[in-house]
Amino acid sequence: MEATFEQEPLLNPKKTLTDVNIDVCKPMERLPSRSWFVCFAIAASLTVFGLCLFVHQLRTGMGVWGLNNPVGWGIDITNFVFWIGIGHAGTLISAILFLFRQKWRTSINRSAEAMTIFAVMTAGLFPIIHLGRNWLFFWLLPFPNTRGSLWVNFRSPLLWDVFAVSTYFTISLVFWYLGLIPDFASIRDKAKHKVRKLVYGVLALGWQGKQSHWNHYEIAYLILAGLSTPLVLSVHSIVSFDFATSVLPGWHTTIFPPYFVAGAIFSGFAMVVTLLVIVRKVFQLEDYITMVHLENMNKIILATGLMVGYAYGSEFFTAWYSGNIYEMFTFKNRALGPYAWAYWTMITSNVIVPQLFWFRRFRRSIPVMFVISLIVNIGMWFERFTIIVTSLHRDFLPSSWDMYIPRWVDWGYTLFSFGFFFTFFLLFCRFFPTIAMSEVKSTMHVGRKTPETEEFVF
Amino acid sequence: MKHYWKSLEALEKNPEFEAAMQKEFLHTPEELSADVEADEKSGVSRREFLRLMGASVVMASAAACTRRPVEKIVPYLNKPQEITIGIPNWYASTCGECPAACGLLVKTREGRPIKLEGNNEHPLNQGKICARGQASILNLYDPDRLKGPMKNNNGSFKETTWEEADKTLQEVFKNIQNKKGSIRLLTGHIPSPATRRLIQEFLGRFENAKQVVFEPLSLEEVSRGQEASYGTPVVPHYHIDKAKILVSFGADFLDTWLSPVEFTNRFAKNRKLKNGSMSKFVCFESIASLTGSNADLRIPVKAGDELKIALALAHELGAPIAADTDGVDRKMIRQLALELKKYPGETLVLGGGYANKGPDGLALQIVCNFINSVLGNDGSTIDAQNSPSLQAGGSYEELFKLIDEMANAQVDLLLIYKTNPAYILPKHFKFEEAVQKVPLVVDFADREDETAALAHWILAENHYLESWGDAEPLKGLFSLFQPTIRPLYNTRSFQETLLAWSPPPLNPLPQGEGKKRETPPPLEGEGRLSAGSVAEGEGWHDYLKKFWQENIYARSGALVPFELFWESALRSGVVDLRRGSGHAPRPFNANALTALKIPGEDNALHLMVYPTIPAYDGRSANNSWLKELPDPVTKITWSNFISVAPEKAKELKIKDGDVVKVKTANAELKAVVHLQPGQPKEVVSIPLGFGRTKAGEVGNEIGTNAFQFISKSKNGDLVWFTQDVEIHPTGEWVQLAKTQIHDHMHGRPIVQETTLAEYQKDPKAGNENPTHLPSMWSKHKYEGYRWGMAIDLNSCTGCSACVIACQAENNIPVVGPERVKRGREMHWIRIDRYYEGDEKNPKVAHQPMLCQHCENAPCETVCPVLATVHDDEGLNVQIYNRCVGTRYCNNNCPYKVRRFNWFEYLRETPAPLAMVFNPDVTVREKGVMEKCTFCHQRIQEGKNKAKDFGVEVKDGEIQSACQQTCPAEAIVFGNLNDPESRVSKMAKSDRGYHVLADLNTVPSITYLTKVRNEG
Repeated sequence: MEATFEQEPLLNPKKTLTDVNIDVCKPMERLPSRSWFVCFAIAASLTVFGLCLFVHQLRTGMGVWGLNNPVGWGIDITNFVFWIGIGHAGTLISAILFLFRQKWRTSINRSAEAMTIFAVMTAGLFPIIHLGRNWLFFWLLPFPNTRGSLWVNFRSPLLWDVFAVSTYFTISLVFWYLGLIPDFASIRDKAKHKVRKLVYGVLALGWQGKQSHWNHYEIAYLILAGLSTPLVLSVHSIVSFDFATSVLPGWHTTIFPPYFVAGAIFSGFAMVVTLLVIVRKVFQLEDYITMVHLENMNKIILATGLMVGYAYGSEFFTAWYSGNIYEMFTFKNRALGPYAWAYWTMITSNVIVPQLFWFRRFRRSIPVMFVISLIVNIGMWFERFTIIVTSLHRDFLPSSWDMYIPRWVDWGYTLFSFGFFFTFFLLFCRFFPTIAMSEVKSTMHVGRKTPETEEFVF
Repeated sequence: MKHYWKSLEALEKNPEFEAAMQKEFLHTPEELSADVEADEKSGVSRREFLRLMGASVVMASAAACTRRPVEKIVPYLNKPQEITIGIPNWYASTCGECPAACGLLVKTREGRPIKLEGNNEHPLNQGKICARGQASILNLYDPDRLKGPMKNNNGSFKETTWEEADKTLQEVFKNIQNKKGSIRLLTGHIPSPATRRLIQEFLGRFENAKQVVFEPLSLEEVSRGQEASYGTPVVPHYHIDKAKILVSFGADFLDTWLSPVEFTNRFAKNRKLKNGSMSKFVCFESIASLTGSNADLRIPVKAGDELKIALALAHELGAPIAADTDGVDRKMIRQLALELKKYPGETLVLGGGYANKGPDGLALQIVCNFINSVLGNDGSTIDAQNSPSLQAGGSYEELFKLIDEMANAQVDLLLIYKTNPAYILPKHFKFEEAVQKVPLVVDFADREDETAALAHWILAENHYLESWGDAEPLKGLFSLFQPTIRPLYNTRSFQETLLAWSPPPLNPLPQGEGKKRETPPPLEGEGRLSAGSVAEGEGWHDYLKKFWQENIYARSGALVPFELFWESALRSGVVDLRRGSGHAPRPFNANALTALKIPGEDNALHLMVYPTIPAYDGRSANNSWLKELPDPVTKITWSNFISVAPEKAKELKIKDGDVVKVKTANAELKAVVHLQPGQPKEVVSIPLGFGRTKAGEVGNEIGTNAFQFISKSKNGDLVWFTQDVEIHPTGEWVQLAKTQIHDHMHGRPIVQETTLAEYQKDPKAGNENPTHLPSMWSKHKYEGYRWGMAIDLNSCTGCSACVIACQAENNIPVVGPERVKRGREMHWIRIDRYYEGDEKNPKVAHQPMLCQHCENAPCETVCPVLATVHDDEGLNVQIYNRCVGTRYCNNNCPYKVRRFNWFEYLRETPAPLAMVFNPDVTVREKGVMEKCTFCHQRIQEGKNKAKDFGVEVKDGEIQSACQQTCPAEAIVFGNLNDPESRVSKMAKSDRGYHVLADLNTVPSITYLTKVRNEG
């Protein structure tokens, strides 16, 4: 008897190899639509607005933020951790799912990786923005210098951050670029304009699709996947060390590394869903990014959401079980204190709302998943806000307790971060293939019989 | 002579050869090069080229060099004898901030005063000064000071010259003398005997001239009470250190009352638990004052009930009359009486602080005097005969008389000095209207303040650090003011001006003095600011010297010549000619007591106005350090407020920050509500000293002028509290700039305390479980010194002098109210104040909190750039130059004592305020973290000094700024590696504990438990 579990096809089975190239390259070969220009204009102006904010901050001082004495970090580091978290899904999809031979990753990995790169770029700005003397940011790098024996402090988690984030960014970028090479070659081959041919030709690094090329390519891809897999876990673990290695109640917890990684995957997949729902609609890629992909991602969101929810619970349990009065107070303060609204926003968005994905109906409904993915992202932003602010604003000595009230600059930088991210993402959609053509082809029924026609498709 | 020929050609006398012989060179270089040139057929020869190039270089450089004017710089070769750059000079002087007149040492660097410290040799303050004294140096550099004398031209002031002022006013004096007009000199309390004499002489030249003394916070009721009880009006000197039991009926002697530095110091001396015992302090008060917060037993009472309770206590001690003590436990009073009786002559009952300035103030004084007499305190803890206090003076009665006189146009000339009645006197006293009827008003003021604005002339007054002077705070105790800087502006001291005017005397003067002043001192010397100020340092200085020669020197019986005496007086700053302190008890006039009327029952809501340490009477309202100094009780900066009991607030449906209209019979003003635990329900209170309109840029239009609520009683007293006050919410809300919002310790072991009984059983009481945690890491090694600090919480009264001392020493910026509201204050040391227990009468603890210089400092591990590191003497040092401003260190600091430079504060410092900066301390840039350094510069200075002598630093030689000024001597700094040092002994004391010890940060600061003498 045949297997009863018929797998739903990943792609529209009617698509041919040529279709893939035509469909994926289509958006790149025509003039952008008006809505693209509108979106790009908004994103670019937010980026410019951020630059103006930065100039303002350089002239006036870090005081333009709403931060204060007990609360030295607020929305700045919230945004940093948020975007680093967003940047998690890409590498997870490209590296870990690749190693696990999850074929469904092929349609989404390109966009997810792009998102990773841009998210890490966005995140990387915040540690520089949040410095009191931004112009000296390079002092965080250990390089031989003429300032005597001054060196960096390898005991500081902030320094680990510098290494973790820059390594992650480098590997992700290389990995992404490597995957793009065969696709650049396809575009080059399709290109009619001389300049276009030249640019993509240079980007394709002389790819000719020879057997030896593919051979090296596959090996390099596998090695890079292997290299970046631990990074997926390490980056956010190290980011979590910023908090976990401190003495502050609410920060000083050993659960942070896995909790942060799960949260990062959670928010990263939510962001991928948000972006792909739009991309597949706008660029008519429904045949390539199908319900199967989306549903799979929603399942991951559900799973990681549960992990995050477990972490929230266990934090409270640990605080209570430890008997530490400071810990107990901090968690009570999170749930019932002046920032309870942020805490409950987080709980609702991250724990309660994703439960809808238990239902297949919701997992496969575009509007539902779009809204949920947005809510999850908001929730994850508030998670970081809650962790950072509620721990800082009331710590050990009640005499120094205070409130953090974000000012327009704090929110302005948050808007800027989205503008910055989308500026790059929109450019990516225009100039790079949003779907890994070469990889998608490997999942097609090319050379295999399609279920309906019993014919070989070429 | 034979002629030898050299060659055949010479022999032949060939003309060609002859010509060649005349030449120096056979071939000139030109000829040679011309040959080469001809050969090479080149355009320019090498030599030609070099010549041209040389010429062009010379011409080009000549063209580039215009002749600059010669600006000679002069090396510091012939340096002024007393100044070595980088080495501070110290001058003994006296504090002119309030009438208490504490002894000062003024630290000057390169000729400018930068820091004030108490004079160790002064017997009153013993090296300590208060927050206001510390901050008074900033007034010297106040940008809003007058730059010269001003003349009122139809409502607007124009700068004028001293010559013009002198000329015009001398005419005026002549006219007044001729027509026998009246002159009134309205002054504040003048602690200077020489000035008093000078005024007397000056006014003596006119037929109708009188001095009226008005000090808003005078202690008139004390001296009148003494008069009624013992026959002589006097303000006694209270020996708080001799009192084993201290009872206060509203006398806020740890805040601002009479001589707060001395009192804090003496009070704390009895709280050190030497031999396991300490004094007991019982406080009955109707507001929540700092004094009350330090009481072992504080009983909040209704305003005016102090008298009833005092009477009840007096009754227990045998007084013939008694009163109801509703609300207060009789048994407690009986027990207090029994306890007091146990120590005859060793207790002290104080009454009549500002909280008691009411119709019953005098009665309360009489009752307190009775109690003291009964307990044998008169003559032992109270000195009214040998060297009573001269730190208070003034007469409201005289003031009211003066206002009447002015209103009736009976005053021809009003001189005002050192007082600001237009601000202080409420509108309904009609001072302003009265002044406007005076044809000529001259104010000696340092700014165009409220009173000066009414004057016709403002004669710009020196700061006290620019002037000579003397003071006599206690009878027989003299100190000197020395000018430590030449007047910054074209200003002249009051005394100098009086001497410059010097109209011909009516009566012969005491011999030898008049002559000198008949002819003004010659105009000489270079660099003098103007002809007017020429006399600076001449006339008045001579007068002062002569006065001292004739009086103090003569009385001292010194065997040295006067010049030597004078020099040593200047050097030490103080001459103590007091007689022994004890005197026989004076007979108490029993009639005074029996004649008292007992006030009836009164449950109305009372409004009380009271002075606080930072604001006092508003005289230094333009001082930004004081404006930003948190009120020691409420921790509110930059504004005053109306304190309301939380219970009452519920009743009135108002909350913290609500703006309310406060309405009394005389005034109606807006104030911001502050909910004050421990405030009696029947009393609302507003601090004085705010609401100035012409203090300057910093102090104008801040808060409510509570002086407006003062009224006049039937018997001519000023009444500081008002019955039947109405409070109406306005619906507005503002945020008060508090530096501490949370008052409860939440059961955390932050301030550890016990009771005396427990302590006597076990000195470890309250500190039973000291934490000693193991560490994974090897400990730091400290081979030489290891700096540490101990803070005795039982001594600290929370007076906040350390906060300003630190600010002055370490160039700490002022940030302003908006930034305080945002939580961005910069003080390196703060006084945390916690409430515990019942909201109606909580126990209060004050805890100085500063960088703990932890051995396992959490800040050090997290800084990515190693900007904060541990040094080999136990200091946690912050390297400003290396800091990039991640603020991670502050996030990870459990004590939250690090301060971040959110802005470029230096840019906001107007000239000449930056002159007060300590050149030994870096001014921090924006974006840099800073914190307490344990006064690193002082440690370095002390170590350098010791090194010069090749010895170790002795214990007590290095004092941090906070320790140096601490009136309670609660802070001790020193070397923990020296087992004999005070700090290591305190650190090992049974009472010693570390704050948040369970975090294993191992701080270098040990706190000693607070012990309350309850029961």
